[in-house]
Order: sequence, then C-alpha cells, then structure tokens
Amino acid sequence: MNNGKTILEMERITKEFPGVKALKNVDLKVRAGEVHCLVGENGAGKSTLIKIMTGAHSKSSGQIRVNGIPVEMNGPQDGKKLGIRAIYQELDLLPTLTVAENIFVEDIPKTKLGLVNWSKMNLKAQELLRTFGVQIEPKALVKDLTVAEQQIVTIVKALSQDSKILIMDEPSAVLTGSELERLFGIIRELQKQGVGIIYITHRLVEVFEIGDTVTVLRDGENIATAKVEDVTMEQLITWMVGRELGEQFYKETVDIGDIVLEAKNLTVTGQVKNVSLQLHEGEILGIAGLVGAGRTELLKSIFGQYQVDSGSLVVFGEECHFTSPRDGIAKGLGLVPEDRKNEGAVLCRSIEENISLGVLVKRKFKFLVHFPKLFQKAVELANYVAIRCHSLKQEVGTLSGGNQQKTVLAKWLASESKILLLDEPTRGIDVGSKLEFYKLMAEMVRAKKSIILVSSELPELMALSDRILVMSNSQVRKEFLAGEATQEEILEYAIPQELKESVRAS
Amino acid sequence: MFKEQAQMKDKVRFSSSSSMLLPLVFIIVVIACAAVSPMFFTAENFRNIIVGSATFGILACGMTVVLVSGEIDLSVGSQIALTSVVMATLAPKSLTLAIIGSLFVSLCIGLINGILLTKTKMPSFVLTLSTMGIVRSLALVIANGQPVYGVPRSFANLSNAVVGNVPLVAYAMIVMYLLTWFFLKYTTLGRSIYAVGSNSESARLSGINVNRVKIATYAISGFVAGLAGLFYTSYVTLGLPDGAVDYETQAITAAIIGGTSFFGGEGKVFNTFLGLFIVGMVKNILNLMGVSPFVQPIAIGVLIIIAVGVRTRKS
Amino acid sequence: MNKTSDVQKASRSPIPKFLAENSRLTVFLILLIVSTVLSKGIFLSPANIHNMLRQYAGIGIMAVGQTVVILLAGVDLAQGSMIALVSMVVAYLNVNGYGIVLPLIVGLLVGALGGLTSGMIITKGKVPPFIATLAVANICKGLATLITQSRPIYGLSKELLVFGRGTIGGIGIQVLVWVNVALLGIFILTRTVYGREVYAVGGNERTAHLSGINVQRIKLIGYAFSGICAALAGIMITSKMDMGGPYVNLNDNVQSIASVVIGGTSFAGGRGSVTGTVLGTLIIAMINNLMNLMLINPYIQQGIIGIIIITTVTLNQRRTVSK
Repeated sequence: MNNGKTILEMERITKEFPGVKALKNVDLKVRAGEVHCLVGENGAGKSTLIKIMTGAHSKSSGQIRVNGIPVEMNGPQDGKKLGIRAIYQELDLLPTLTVAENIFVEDIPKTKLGLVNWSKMNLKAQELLRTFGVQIEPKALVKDLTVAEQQIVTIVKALSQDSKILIMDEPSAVLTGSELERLFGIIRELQKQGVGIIYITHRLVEVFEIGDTVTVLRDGENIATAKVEDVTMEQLITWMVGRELGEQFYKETVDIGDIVLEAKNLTVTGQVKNVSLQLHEGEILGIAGLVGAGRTELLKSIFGQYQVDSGSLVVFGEECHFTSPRDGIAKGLGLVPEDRKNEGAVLCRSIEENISLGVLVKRKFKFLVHFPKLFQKAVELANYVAIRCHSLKQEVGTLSGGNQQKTVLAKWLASESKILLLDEPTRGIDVGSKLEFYKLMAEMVRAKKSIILVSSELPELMALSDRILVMSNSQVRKEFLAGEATQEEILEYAIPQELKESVRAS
Repeated sequence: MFKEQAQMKDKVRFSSSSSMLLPLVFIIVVIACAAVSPMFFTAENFRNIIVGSATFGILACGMTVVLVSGEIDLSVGSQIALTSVVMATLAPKSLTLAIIGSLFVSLCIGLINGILLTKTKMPSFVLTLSTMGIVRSLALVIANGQPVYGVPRSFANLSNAVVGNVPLVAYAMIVMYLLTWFFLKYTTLGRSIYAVGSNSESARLSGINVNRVKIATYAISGFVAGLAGLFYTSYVTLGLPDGAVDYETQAITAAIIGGTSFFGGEGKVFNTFLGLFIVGMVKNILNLMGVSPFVQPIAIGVLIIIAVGVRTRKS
Repeated sequence: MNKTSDVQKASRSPIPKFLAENSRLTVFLILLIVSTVLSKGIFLSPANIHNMLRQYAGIGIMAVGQTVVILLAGVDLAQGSMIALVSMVVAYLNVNGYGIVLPLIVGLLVGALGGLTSGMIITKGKVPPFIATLAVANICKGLATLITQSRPIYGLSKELLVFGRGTIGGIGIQVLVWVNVALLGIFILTRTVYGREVYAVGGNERTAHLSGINVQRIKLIGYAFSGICAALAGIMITSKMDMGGPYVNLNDNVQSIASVVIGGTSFAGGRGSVTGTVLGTLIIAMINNLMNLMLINPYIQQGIIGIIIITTVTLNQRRTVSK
C-alpha cells in the first residue's frame, strides 16, 4: 500500500513563536494511501506542524509542496482548497450548535432558494453518523454530548468532505475500544481510496496496528522517519524520550531526612485511585507514566486544587484536608503547574509582582506591602533562579518559556514552600535553561526542601530522582529506587495492561 | 466533581435553558396576572402592553442577533434618536425620502460600528459605548438640541392605527420577529452568526469569514434600530434628539430574560419575544394593582437576577 | 553576570509609572495647550480650573471605584443609580431630623451594600458583571424613586451643604475629597496586599486562585469599593445641588467608565492604574470646559468623548501588540 505517489512534501519547515522555536527544519513526506503516524511527547511540535500543514499557522521558513507544486497557504481555507483537512485535538466544534450543523458548517445543504435545508441536513448527518455506527441525534447540541461523541462528530465532519490528506490529531485519546475499531475500519477504507492520512497518537500500539510509516518528533525536530515494520516499540520510545549523548543532568547527593508528606489511599473519583506515597526531607520523588496516567491529577489533589474523596494526607506530621490551594500553600506546598500560561503565571503582570504573590500569600504583610523589602526579596530570588530580563518590571508574558518557569518557581521560593510539586517543569525549555533548572532543584534539596517531580522525559526523571513511582490508569504500579531500573523496566509498568494485550493480539 | 471544573462548565454551559421553561414561565405569569386583576385580560389592556413595548420589542430583535454573535450594541438607543431626527427633518420634503433616508443612515452607522469593531479589535462594549455618544451628538447637532416638528399627521397616526381591533404595531412587531427568526434559522448568514458567537476560532477554521459576519451583524442591528426609530417617531410624533435614552438596556433585558447567552452562540428570538412580554406584563400588572410605578424597576432587576441566576444554577 | 547587573539596575531606578502612560499624557498636554491658546489664557485662570475640578469631582470619585472593578475584568453599571439612591437616602434622613452624621454613614453603607450585592450575584450566582450590575442598577433606581414617589427632597440642613459648596484654604471640599479618594485608590492599588491581589485576579483568575488568593473576597471588596465611591459622589452632588435628586444620571455612569477606559485601563482586566483614570477624568473635564469657554455647541461633547475613547484605546492596543 506504500506505492502511492507522494502528495505532500514538507521541507525544512521552521516555525518560531516569540521566545520559542517550535519547529526546526522538519521534513515530512506523505504518499497517497499511506497512514503516516506522527509521534512525540507533548510539546514536541506535532500540533504546530499540522497547523502549518492546514494553513492555520504560517511557517517561518521552509517549503510545502502538494503534488510536487510549491504552495503558500495564508489561512485554513487555502489548506481546504488543496484537500488538506484536519481533525484537531482540541475538538474544534461549535458547542452551542447542533451536531448536523457542525458536520456541515462548511457546506450547508441548501434549498433551491438558497435557504438552509434543515431536513436534508439532518438526514445526511444521520446517514453519515450511521456509517460510523453510532447513535447520535443530529439535532442534539454538541455541548450536550460526551467528549467521545464530540470526537466522533469531528471525525464525521472531516469525512463529509473530500480530502486528499486527512490529519487526525489524537483521535483515539477519548474513544473506547469499539469506536476505535470503527475508526480504524474507516481509515483503511480511506486508504483504499488513496487518501493520505497523518495519524497522531500517544498510544504507540496504534502505530503498529494502523501505521505504514512513522515519524518521531522531539523538541521541534524530526528525530526519525521509518517504515513501521522496521521498528520496535522500544525503539520508538527511545527516540521519543531519549536524549543525545552529551546532554547533562545535575544531581547532588544529599542526606535524606524524615518523612514530610505521606499520602494513604488517596482517591479522587475518576482521576486518582488509591495512591499511597511517602516523601522525605531533601528527597526528589519522581513520578513516571504516560500521558493520561493521572500524574498531574495526583499533584493537584495533593496541592488542594482537587477535592480528595477518600484517603488521608499527612503533611509534616499533621493530618490535612485541603479544600483549596490556599490550604496547601499554608502547609508549605507549592505547585509549578504543567500549564504555565493559564495556571502558572499572570502573564500581563511584572516578574516582581508574580514572584511577590508567593510572599503575599504567606500573609507576612497583613494589609500594607513593605515595598523595598518585597522588591529586595524579588531581586534576590530573581538572581537566585537567574531570570534573564531587562528589568523586574518586565511583563512575564514577554519572557521565554524557561524564564517564565523560573518566575513561577521563584514565586514558591518566595512563599518558602518546603515541598515543591513540579509538573513537567522543563517542557518547552531550551537545553541550557534545563541544566540551570536541574541545578536549582539540587540547591533546593540541599536547603532541605523536598520535591515531587513529574516528567515525561525518562532520562531526566531517572537522573534526578531518588525514587521513582510509576503510574498508569490513575494508580501507582511500581516503585523503583534510583539507579535500580532501566527505561525498559519503567515502561513495562507505565504501559497499561490492556494496551499490551491489544498489541499482542494485533 | 471538582469545583473548578464545575465552574468552567458553568461558563461553557451558561444559560442552556431547556426549551420549555420559558414558555411555562410565560404562561404562569399570564395566569397569575389574570388572577390578580380582572382588568388584565381585556383587549384594551393588551393593546396597551403591545403599544408600550413595540419600540423596545423591535429593538430587541436586533439586539438578540448581536448578542448571539457574542457582542453587544449599546449605540442603538442613540440611533433611534438620530433616525427620528433625520425622519422629522426630511419628512416635509418627501415622506418616502425621509423613511429611506433614515433607514439608510442607521444602516450606515451599523456598518461603521462593525468595521470599527473588526479593525480596532476593541471590546464591543467600549466601542459601542463610544459610538453611543457620537451618534447622540450627531442627532443633537442636526436638530440643534430642539425637538424637530415636521412629522406628517398621516405618519404619526400609524402608531394609533388599528386593523381588526389589533394595533398596527402589533402586526409589525410580529412580522419583525418572524423575519428575524427566519433569518437566524434559515439563512447561511444567520447560521454563521451563531457559529461565530459559539466559538469564533472554530468558525474561522471552518472557513467562515468572521470579520465579514461581525460587520453584517452590526449592519443588521443598525437597520433594525432604524426601523425601531421609525416606530418611535410615529409614536412621539416628533424628531427627538434626546429621546430613547436607555432603550438599549431595555432591549438587552428582554433578550437576557429570554435566555440569550451573554457569551454568544445561544439565543432564540422567539424567547426574546416572551422575555419582552414577561417584562411588559409585570410592569402592567403592577400598574393595574395600583402599585407605585417606582417599584417596576426593582421588579425588573429582581427578575433579571432570578432569570439568569436560575439558568446558571441549573447547568 | 550580565543579567545580575540588569536586575539590580532595575531595582535602583524603577521606571516612573507615568512614562508607560505616554499616550494619555500626550493627549492631556495637547489638550492643555490647545485649551489655553484657544481660550486666550482664560483656561489657565485659577478660577476656571477650580470650577472645572469642582464640576467633575463626582465623576472623578466614581471613576476611581470603577477602575478597581474594571481591573478585576468586570464593570459597574450601577454607579449612576447608586448616586440617586444615596442622594435620596441622605436627604431624606437629613430633613427628617437625623442630623448629618447618621445620614452620611447610612449613605456610605448603602453604597457598600449595593456593591456587595453586585459582587455576590457575580461570584455566587456566576452572572456576568454587566447583567448583575444592570439588575442592581434597576433596583437602586426603583428604591431611589420610591422614597418620595420620585419627588426631589428640598430643605437640607446648612451643615450638609459644606461638602458641595464649602472650601478649605480656597479649595472646594469636593475637589479635596476627589484628590483624597484618588490618592487612596493609588495607595490601595500600589501599596497594599489587596492591590497586588486585584491585579493578579484581573490578570489571570486561575493562576490567582492557584497562588492561594481568595478570588471571591477580592471581587466582593472591589465592588463594595466601587459602591462606596458612588455613594461619596452622591453625597457631593446632593450637597452641591442642595436637594435629594431621585433622577438617575446615566451619563455619569458612562463618563465614569469613559474616564477609566481613556485612562488606559484594559477592559480585559489586570492592566491599568488610578493615575491613568484621573488623567482620563481630567481629559473629559477639559474638553467640556473648553467647549463652555469657547461657547461651542455643547451637543458635540459626548461625541468628542466617544472619539477620544476610540482613539486612545486603539493607540493603546497598538502599543501592546507591538510589544
């Protein structure tokens, strides 16, 4: 099936956002009738790449050729004219409109008078939905559907139009087994019709089930492109999470002290299942797992952002029931969230103000701010974490990702947090900043702080952690001591059981 | 489940009222009013309610369209004043010219609103607050701050005209609502307005020209304000440059009591109609019961809080 | 090394705040010069400036409260009606023999209560600020007219008139109140914990919540402050007019919002200052004053304010985008 001619070629595509290079000289070729899988960790540049493919983003440099002819796309309409369509990950739907309208929004069926033909639209929608084998009412509002149903609507929407290239951005993330089977059936059907399919997924087993070719992106670069039959899953994972030699980590040995935080059977319905863990003074506890394993949710429930349904949490020897982040912070916790822009920093305010939030929350100043003191503290911490900026009055939104992250960290240092919860702290940060960040972590544990680190980069996690907990399906599967486990062993526990079975079956 | 997620959901699902709730409330209000006062259920009284809310009612059609697109238009009250001045100024020359001229002026103002909105990327609240002042000034300058006499008696009589015991304005209002309903439901532009209000980025990715839709929305709002202005002129029989103050909030009130979402993408003009009459009937029954007219705004305020609050709670 | 010195340099010489508000300052200065030249210097006469400030003190006071609310990504449409309500409450209590202290206290309490009501509807009921304050505006309007069936209240005691007519050292008391409220606003926003929290909540509510800020409390206080400012303005206006006026002046509310917006506070929240708002009020006041002096048709006043809003906001956005 790989004999089709090349219909899409992307050559040396580079995309720069203010402060970040999201893509660096990426090459990609898609042939007719091919399923080309695109894999990589979050932030590797997959979404940016497909947005450039469809014309939703403009590229900074590089060339795109469709059927051998160079094209310039200035908007999603241009991509559509060329037959390139995408089913986006963030469910690009109109929530307050009906299912049928969403499917046909680009080409509404009309009567002879040019009016919206509702009966025809609903009927056609019903037919399309039926081919997918699902029971969704065409007249239902999209916002009233489940996430899986919404995903199906986006797929049906893309299928309702003729396309030469169909991009699917993690369609399987929310689909159940039978729905997924159905999707694969449709993909195979489209293959026969000569449609080139780009399939993005986090579930690597799917690569082997449906893919012909696979491309691995990491840090905005094309690490490898290979035929699926020539690679193993371990090979793929190494490409995804591995690092080039010469990249450095930084870790100091410090004395591990007493238990500072202990969770017993922590449960948050649907998010965290029966998690027990202990964190000691001066320890870095790593949490490994695939995307969706419940790592972020675990941190948020320890922090007080999510309400714990059952189980107990003991912090510094005291039983705690946090009802809001404020309670967690009061107990000496600090969370550096994964979503830096929406949860970590106030982008439209200055570095100094962001750092000072950590001081204010401690209520050292009841009403008045002692400005010189506050500013001095911010300067001290900004120097300590080495934020690169013109001035502390600079808005955080104008900083690079690494410096934004340092600002968030400085906020928790300002609040004198004893326990830091770091959620993918080095994602989307350049290599130099990463090393600085590791050194900061080492200094913090030397200062008798404790860290829980969530990271998708296994080498990083293995190099920095004193212990590693492996999570999958919202549960802790296994605990390893530092140096005890190899990447392969960790992955063995990180990949959910069902997935392993399904790969064996296929 | 989680407080925050619930909050997010509230925002997304804001005002997703079930379709039966509002008609039910409407019927309850009618029955309650009829029970309270024997004078309520009379043709005369209904005529009063209809004639009293005709101008707001027509204005509320346009406002619903703007709110559905996710924006707001605070300049419509001023536009009514300008229309009435243009109308009264031109009428002595030619009535036809006056009608066409005043509608043309309000259409242009709507267009300018839309163009400014898309070009400057200002929040629509701030922009239309500004044009509200500009249009009002324009009306005052043209009329030199004085009422303009010159509306022919034939035109002024229209507001009192009765066809088959039903006031003419009632027919006009019903036609307006049917037209708006038809426009929003059956035309591509109407559906695009919903799409843009629902999620403008998704709409853009689906190939909808968001800016063009926004400009069209404001043009419609302007044109409808012009029509409302014609009724207003006929009703007050003058060109009033300082008239129709605060009419925009009356129109917004009808729309939001009718369940139109402030976040766009949701709203039915039929429900705006019900909202309009719920407000009208509440005011009317308070009158009939001999309650001080000054209680009316309090009642409307409470009504707004309950209507919007209940809807948010429900979802 | 380099970055360290950068940071320290910044700490030694913090950039003056008004430099960031260049476009407004420019508009202000241009207006100042134009007004002076066109009025052949009359504009700059102390009597004229004093008059202008007295006239706009009420708007200026309201605008300080409105700034806090808009910084919180909200808006307060109830200020105009609050003025009427407070005016009536104060006048009613005064003429019915409750002296002046009690009416003033009750007036301010009414303002605070009205603001708190808006705040509760917004935070607890999850109602958009526009709708919530519109509803509260309706209620205040109704209550204001209900007290005397919409008749003005005359015959206030002489002591009460001091606020609108009295002077201290030649300066009108309402001007002094405006100055003090503005200074208080600047102080609160730049020197208190609460001020820092306002900017954080307005800038990113989620991050603020996750940084341990009690978002609901911050909003409630903000709306209450706005209500109190409106109440103060109501007291000044009552005293100046020597009567309790039940009529809602919608234009006051619009001018209060216009001052804030011209003053460069972002409608999206999180960016802006009271200093800017004061400049905004002064710009509006100068335009009005100039037109009076020049005997220019007063009808174009609202239009000019509209044009200035559009111009300054657009300029402001260009600046932010280019950054």
